Amino acid sequence: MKDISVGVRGRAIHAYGLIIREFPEYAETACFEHIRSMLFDKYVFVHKAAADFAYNVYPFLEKRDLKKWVSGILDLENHYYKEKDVSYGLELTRILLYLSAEQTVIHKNITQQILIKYCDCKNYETDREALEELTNLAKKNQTLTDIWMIEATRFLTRTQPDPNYSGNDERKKFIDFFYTLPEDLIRRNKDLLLTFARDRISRLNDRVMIDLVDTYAIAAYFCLWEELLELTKFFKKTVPDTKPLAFAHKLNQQAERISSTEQKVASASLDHSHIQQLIHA
Amino acid sequence: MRNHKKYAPEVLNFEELLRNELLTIYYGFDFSKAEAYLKKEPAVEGHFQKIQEQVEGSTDEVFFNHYSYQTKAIFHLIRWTTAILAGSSKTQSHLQAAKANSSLIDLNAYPYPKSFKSGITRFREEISNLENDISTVKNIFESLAKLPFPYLYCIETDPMVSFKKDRNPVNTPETKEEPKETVVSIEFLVDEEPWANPQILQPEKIYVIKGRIRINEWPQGCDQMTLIPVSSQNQNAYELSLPPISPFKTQSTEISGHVVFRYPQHSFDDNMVIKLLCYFQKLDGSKLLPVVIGYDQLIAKVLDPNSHEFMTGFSSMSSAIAEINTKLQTELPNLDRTELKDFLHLLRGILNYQGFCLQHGTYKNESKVLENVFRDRLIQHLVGVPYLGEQIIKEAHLAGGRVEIGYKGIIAELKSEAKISDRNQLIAKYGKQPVAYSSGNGKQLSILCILDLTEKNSPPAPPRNNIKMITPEVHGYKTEDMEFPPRQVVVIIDGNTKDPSAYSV
Repeated sequence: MKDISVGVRGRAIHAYGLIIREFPEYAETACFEHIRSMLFDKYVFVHKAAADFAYNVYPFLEKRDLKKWVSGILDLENHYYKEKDVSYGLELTRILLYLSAEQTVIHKNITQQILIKYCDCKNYETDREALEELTNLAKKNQTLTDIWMIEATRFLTRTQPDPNYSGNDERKKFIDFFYTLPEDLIRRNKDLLLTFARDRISRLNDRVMIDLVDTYAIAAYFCLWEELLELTKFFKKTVPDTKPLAFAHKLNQQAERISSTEQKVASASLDHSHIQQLIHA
Repeated sequence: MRNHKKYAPEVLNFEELLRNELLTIYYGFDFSKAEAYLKKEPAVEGHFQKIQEQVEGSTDEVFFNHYSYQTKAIFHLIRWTTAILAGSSKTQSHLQAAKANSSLIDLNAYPYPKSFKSGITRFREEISNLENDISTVKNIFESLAKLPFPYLYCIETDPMVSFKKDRNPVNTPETKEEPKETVVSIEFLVDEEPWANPQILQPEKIYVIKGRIRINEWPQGCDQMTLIPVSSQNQNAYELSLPPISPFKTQSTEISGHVVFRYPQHSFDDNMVIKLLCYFQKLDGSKLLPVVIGYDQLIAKVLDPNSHEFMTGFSSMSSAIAEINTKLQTELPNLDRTELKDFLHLLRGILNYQGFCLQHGTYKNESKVLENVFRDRLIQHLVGVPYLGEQIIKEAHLAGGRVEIGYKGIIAELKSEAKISDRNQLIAKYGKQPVAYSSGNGKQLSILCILDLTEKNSPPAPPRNNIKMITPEVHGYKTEDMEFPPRQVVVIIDGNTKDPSAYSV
C-alpha cells in the first residue's frame, strides 16, 4: 500500500478488502487509517479503491471512525459532483448511504441533501438510478415519500416513455410506486400530479399518452374525482378534437363520465337526472 | 422481472357498467322496486365474469373478488327485504348470506385507499348489525350512494406473459403424432447356435430353424407377415422355408422352419450368407417393409466331411479332421487361412500314418523304439503322401531346439513313450514343447504325435479316441484371455500291441 506504483497501491487496497472480508482476523486499525488517508490520494485509481474499501471496512469501524470515513467520502463526492462526474458521485452517495444506514440523522441528511441532487442532474441514467435508490429508501421509510413524490413527478415530467419498449418502460416502476403510497400523501401532493398531467395534456401525442392514462388511473384509484374531472375539462379545452387524437378523447370522455358521477357521489349531490343518464347510457 | 400495471380498457368499461347498475339501486332505494333491482343481478354477474376473465392471475383479482362479495351481499339484502315483506320463511337464510358475503371482504388483503376502506368498514358493520328491522337497509343503501368507489384503470400484469404463453405446453399447437415405424426383431437359431455366429453345416442335411419374432406393433391393415431368404448365393444351392406369420397380440411368437444346403462349398475359405427379408402383406395386396433387427442373417460354411480336403484314407480319421476343422473355424475366427490349410494337410498325413500303423501292426510287440527311428519312419511315410512330399523337413532348427518334422512352418513334435499310458499325463508331460516351437515359428497350431509303447494289457481303444485337440498353457495368459489362442492336436499311435488272440483269457 506504500508502493510508489499507483497500480500496486490500488490493487493492494482491493486485495486487503477481500482478505478482511474472508479472514476478519487480519483486520488492523492502523491499516484502515492508512487506507482512509488514501481517500485523498491524488491518483483516481487509488482513491477510488479506498472509497470502495469502505464496504469492507464498515463492520470493523467504531462510530467515531465511521464519521471520519463518511466525512472523507463526502469530500470526495463533493469533488466529483463539481467535476460533473455524476455517475461516480452517485456511486459515492451509495457508499455514504451504506455507511450511515444506522445513523438516522446522517442518513436522512445524505438522502435529502446529497441523493436528491443526483435525481435531477441532467443525466438520464444517473437521474433514474438515483430515483431508484430513493424509491427503495422510500419503501422502507415513509418519511421520505413526500420527497420521493416531488422528485418522481419531476423526473416523469422531464422524461418521456420509451416509444419502443412501452411494455417495460423503466419509468413504469416509479408510476407503480404511486399506488403503494398513502392516500393522504397523494391528496397532499395532488398538485404535483395535476401539474404532471397538465404537462402531458398540453403536449399530448402518442408517446406521452400512456403517462396521461397513468395519471388518470392514479387519480381514479385514490378517488381524486374532483381533480380528475378538472383534468378532463382541461383536456377538452386544450386538446384539439382531431382524428389522430380520437383515442385520447374517448378515454377523456369516459374519465369525465366516471369522475362526474363519482364526484356527485362523493359530494352527495347525485340527482335523479344523472341516474336517468346512467340508466340510458 | 417484476410485474407492471397496464392499462386495461375492457376492464374499465365493465367497471363503469357495473358501477352504473349498482348506483341505480343505491340511489333512492325503494322497497317496492326490489323485484326490478333483483332483475339486474344476472347483468351484474355477467360484468363480473367478464372482468374476472381479464384479471385472472393478477394481484388485482382480489379487488374484484371483494367487490363481488359486496355486490352479492347487497342482492341478498334485497332478497331478505322482499322475503320479509312477502312473509316468506326464507328470510334468515338471505340475511345470513348477506352477512357471510360482507364478512369475506378483507380490507387488509388489498391496498385500498384509506377513505374507501373506512366506508366499506362502515358498510360491513351495518350489515353485521342487521336483525329484523328492514328500514336500516334503506340507510345502508343511502350510505353506499354517497361512497365514492375506486376504479382500476390499470391491472398488474406480467410483461413477459406473451413469452410465457408461448412456452406453456398447454398453448403449444398440437403436434401431429408421427406414425409409428414397425420394428421386427428376429432371433433365429440353427443347431442351438444363433444365426449371427458363423456355423459349419453339412450339405444334404435338413437343419431345423427355431426362432422368436417380436414386433413393437402389428401394423394396421396387414394380415400376414412373410420372411423370405435373400442371398448372393445361387438360389438352387439352398432351400430355406419359413411359414407365414399371422397377426399375434402377445409380445412375441415362436416360429420354426428348415434349411437344406444342396451342395458343399468347394473351399472352406468363404462363408455363405443368407439374410431374411421381412414384409407385411396388406389386404389390398401392397407390402409394408418394416425395420428388421436381431439375428436375421445366417452365416455358414457348408462343408462335406468326405471332401478331399479331409480325406485321410481312413473314415474315422477323416471325420476327425472335419471335426477339428469345424472347431478351429468356430473357435479361432482370426486364424490365418493358409496356416489352417497347411496344418490340416500335415495332420491328414499323420492320421493316415496312424491308421496305417494300426491296420498293419507296424509297432506290434515293439517295446522300445527310438524317437529318431519313429521320426524317420513317419517322415518316410509322409514324403510318400502326394500333397506333402518334398515340403516335409526333418529336424529343422527352431527356437533354439530341433523340430522333428516341419511342413510349411507347421511343426509336428514326436515322442516315444514306454512308461506312461495315461493320456492326460502324456499330454501334460509333452504338450508344452510343440507350442514353444510353433510360437517360435509364429503359428497358433501345432501337432504332438506320441508313440505309445507301454504294455497293452487291454486291447487298444478305437483310434478316434487317440486324436485330441487341446488348448495348451502359455506364459502370461489365461486361456480365455487370449485374442489368438494356440491349439494343439495330439495324435497317439498305439505301439507295442499284442496279437489279438493274446487278449483272450
